[in-house]
Amino acid sequence: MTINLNNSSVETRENRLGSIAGYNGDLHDLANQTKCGTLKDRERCFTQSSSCDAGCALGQLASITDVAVINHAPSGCTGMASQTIVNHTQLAAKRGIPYTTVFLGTDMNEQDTVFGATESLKEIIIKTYQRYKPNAIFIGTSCVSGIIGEDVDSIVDELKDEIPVPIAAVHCEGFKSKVWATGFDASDHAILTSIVKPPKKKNNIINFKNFNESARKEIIKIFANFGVKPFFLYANTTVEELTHMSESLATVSICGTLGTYLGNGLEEKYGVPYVKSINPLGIVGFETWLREIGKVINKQEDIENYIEKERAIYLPKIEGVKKELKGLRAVLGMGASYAFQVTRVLQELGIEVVWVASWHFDSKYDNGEIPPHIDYLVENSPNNFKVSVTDQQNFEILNILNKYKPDIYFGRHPGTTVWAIKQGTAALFLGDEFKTFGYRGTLDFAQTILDTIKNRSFEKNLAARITLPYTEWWYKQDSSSLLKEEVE
Amino acid sequence: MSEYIERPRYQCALGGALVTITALDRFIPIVHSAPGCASSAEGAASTGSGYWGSTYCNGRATPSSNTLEKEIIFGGEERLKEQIETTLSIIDGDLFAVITGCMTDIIGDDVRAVVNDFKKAGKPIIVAETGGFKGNSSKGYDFILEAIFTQYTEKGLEKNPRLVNIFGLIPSQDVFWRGNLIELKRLLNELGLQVNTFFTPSDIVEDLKTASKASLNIVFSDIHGIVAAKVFEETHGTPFITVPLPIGPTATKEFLEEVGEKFEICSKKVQELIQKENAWYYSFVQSIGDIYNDIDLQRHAIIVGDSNYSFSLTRFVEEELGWIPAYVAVTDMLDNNEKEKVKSRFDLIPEDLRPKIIFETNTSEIVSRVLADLKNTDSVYGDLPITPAFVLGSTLDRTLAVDVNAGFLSVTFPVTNRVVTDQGYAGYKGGLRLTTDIFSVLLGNR
Amino acid sequence: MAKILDQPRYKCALTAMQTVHGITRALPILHSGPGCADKLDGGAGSSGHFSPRVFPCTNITEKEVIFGGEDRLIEIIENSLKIIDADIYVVLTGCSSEIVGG
Repeated sequence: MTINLNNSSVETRENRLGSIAGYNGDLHDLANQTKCGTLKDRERCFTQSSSCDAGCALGQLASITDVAVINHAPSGCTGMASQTIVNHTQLAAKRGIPYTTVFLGTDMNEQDTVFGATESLKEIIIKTYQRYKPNAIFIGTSCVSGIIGEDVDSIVDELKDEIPVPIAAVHCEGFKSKVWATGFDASDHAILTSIVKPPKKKNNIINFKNFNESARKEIIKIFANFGVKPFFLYANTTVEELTHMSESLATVSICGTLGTYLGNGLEEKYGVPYVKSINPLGIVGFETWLREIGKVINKQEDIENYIEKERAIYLPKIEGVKKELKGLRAVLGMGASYAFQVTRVLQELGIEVVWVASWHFDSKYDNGEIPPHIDYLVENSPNNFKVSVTDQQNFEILNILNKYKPDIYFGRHPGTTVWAIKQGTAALFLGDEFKTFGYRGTLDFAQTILDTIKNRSFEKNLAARITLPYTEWWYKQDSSSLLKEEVE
Repeated sequence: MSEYIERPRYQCALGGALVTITALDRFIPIVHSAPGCASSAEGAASTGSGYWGSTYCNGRATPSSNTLEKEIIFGGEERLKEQIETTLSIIDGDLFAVITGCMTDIIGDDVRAVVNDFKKAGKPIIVAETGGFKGNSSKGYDFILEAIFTQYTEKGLEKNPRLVNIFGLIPSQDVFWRGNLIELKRLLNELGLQVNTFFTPSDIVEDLKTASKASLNIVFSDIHGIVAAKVFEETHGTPFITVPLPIGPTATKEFLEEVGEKFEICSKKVQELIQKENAWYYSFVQSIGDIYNDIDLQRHAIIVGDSNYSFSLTRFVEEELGWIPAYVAVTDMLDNNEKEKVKSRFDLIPEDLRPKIIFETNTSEIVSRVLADLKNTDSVYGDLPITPAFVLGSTLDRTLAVDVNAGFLSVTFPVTNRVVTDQGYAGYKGGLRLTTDIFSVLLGNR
Repeated sequence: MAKILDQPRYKCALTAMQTVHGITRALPILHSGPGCADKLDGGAGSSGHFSPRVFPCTNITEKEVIFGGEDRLIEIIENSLKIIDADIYVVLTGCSSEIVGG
């Protein structure tokens, strides 16, 4: 199995799941190569800034409400702290719960880099516990600490007995993985190895891995129909709550890429079933996912009744909006799971998807299977759309948008959709991961798409009056022309 | 016709004339009316236009004959004569204007005769009959301008081929009149034209005297100032054009091109100015493209304003912000011809984005008509056809915003929840400011 | 001597990228890890003619750490000149490249 909880460092996605960050082709080719095991990564001879796994891992851990995250790094890496803390303070305020997490850095300077800083790190950890009294301490590594070979694991071992709360090293050096989603796995690894305790009993809770729990109330209501309660993580959770995850009925996730390590890890170690179907985005996604949950919690009939009732309410409304969306063409640029699953939702709404730019691609998940949303598309997609694995590379996206001129571009990372509108393409930022959740989400999504394309004069005017950074030469090339041949 | 007026967005004719006069320093009003008119008018104007407040000689310093029962019964001409004499010796001004209120108009004081005596003696004084019942602020604006053009502006002056007068923005009624005039003047200056704005704090009375030198009058309204512009043409031969108040790059471009053509300014120069201004505007707007898209700042719009702003704001949000206009309420008192004029401007907006237009002077009627229409609307958006929405109106329209769960920014009269100094919404600078103000509201709860 | 950095009000020296970005048509090229620009980003409407998403970056991985990153840097600079239209290109180094010495 791919998950090894005995190591202190999580294995990178490229090693564990055959994940890649560079590819150009189409859906069927991607699926075939994945099944045959011939899918290889392609590097680029030109790259632009992307994201690193440290940002991912530490951001996830800092969303827990009562911990300390210590970033053993120079001050720049800790630059993300304020944004993270502000976001999560607001999320907690929304629910009226306290948020006392601190996100610290060790402010490594030239001295530390040359002479090492493990002694100071040890002192800092002790001081952190004394000053802030967190319920867990996570020490995140960085490029610098990794290159100079700081032995963070030994420090953690030394302090384990001294500090009364769980403390764990989180190996997330920025250069560690080509796929920043390895950061999700690093945070899950830290939780599984240091926080989750063996089950004492069983409860009726379903672990729900997500980002910002915007559909919390809605999902509590839905689950109540089946006698179960959701436990959203990691945002707005406490360490204490997380220790009980092994006692849950099941684990689900809003996104396959986000949930694979934790979901499969809990299943392997504690026998908590992980729902591995496609995720609840769109109609088919929602129904498949609910039915899978129904099997696990043994409430199949209740689920069928629920589905029938909701369909009667929502499907006619969705059909109504679908008419207005006929003929639209879309391009997406998102993470490995959302890119393909939002595609499925768009196709349900009758919108033609011409290009899917996935930021990375997992050949399989931690259960050893190819991601189910790929199989679904291979069987059901009305067209063999083009696919690239694009690692957020802006120059490729703008080239694609310029060639294919879709009606609308969909993105999920701040600062990506603005480039589409600067090039004159209407764009929708799908920041809320629950935007397409279930029937309600599908309808809402359809209405928002309608709003977006109804008046495109902002992007039209903007594009006519600003300059774009790329040379004419680049726009004439193929978007994949700077991908190198496959690596071994 | 007699209807009630509920929460009006304008004053009476006297009020309109009064604010026009007091917007220009050293232009002194002498109000021939009962004691409360002047201060009441000033109070409405100053609080409702973003706390405009005192200028050179207004508010509690406004000369007023304060006619009481005695004058109503026996006539007020003696009182007026006395008031004018004393005002001339106490107040240091360049031009004096006698304006009348309801009572004095009704009792038939021959104010013209009284003033003529002073005119003959060479005093710089004019008169306008502006009884409140004659109409609202717009009429008052026309009345006083007519009086200025026929009694003060010098006749027979040689035309300056590069001089332009600007009308149509009523001081205080257009809450942002000062900022607007300053920006419009700046743009026309860039085209090589000289401009009389008359009513900004740095303008002088002398400009009214020599206004007849202008070779063109631009009226930034289909309704306000039209009558006065016609009188100007008859009296001094200067033609006029009407242009909708330009807010943002697209409308301002059209305005500059029209003026450029009228003055036969080389089109290269006009286009260069437009390019320069566009580059400036977009150098800022392109950066906020991030937040615009990431937080989705697109809205369904409800606009409530007078004839000037109702169209100009709609055009701006539709064209420059990519919003979807849902309703426009025009709050001026208009006859059928005027309503048609206002309506036809909206033909410029693409058909599928044209809002529903409501002509309505009463605030609560506007609210109930919008809400009733929403209830009856069958749309693919289901129960919430215009969510999320945004209201651009006066402070009185904040309740409408609450009713439709919308964001809100006060732009049209009266504005009592903001302080207004040199902000303007006209032109390129104004368009950027309006964009900034609207988006700041939308992020204001952070 | 490392110290606790809580609620930081400064970022590291690589934030020089923001100074370069402030100069019209000047483009920073980063010889650093993939996450640096993302983290040092202003976060409040930073796109202009360029933005941190557009900055070319060598996106240093384990390979460059072990074998050195000079070849990669050359490749990135060459292609930046072809793909992006700027008046001046400023190469800035981050932690990894400076420690490794390549």
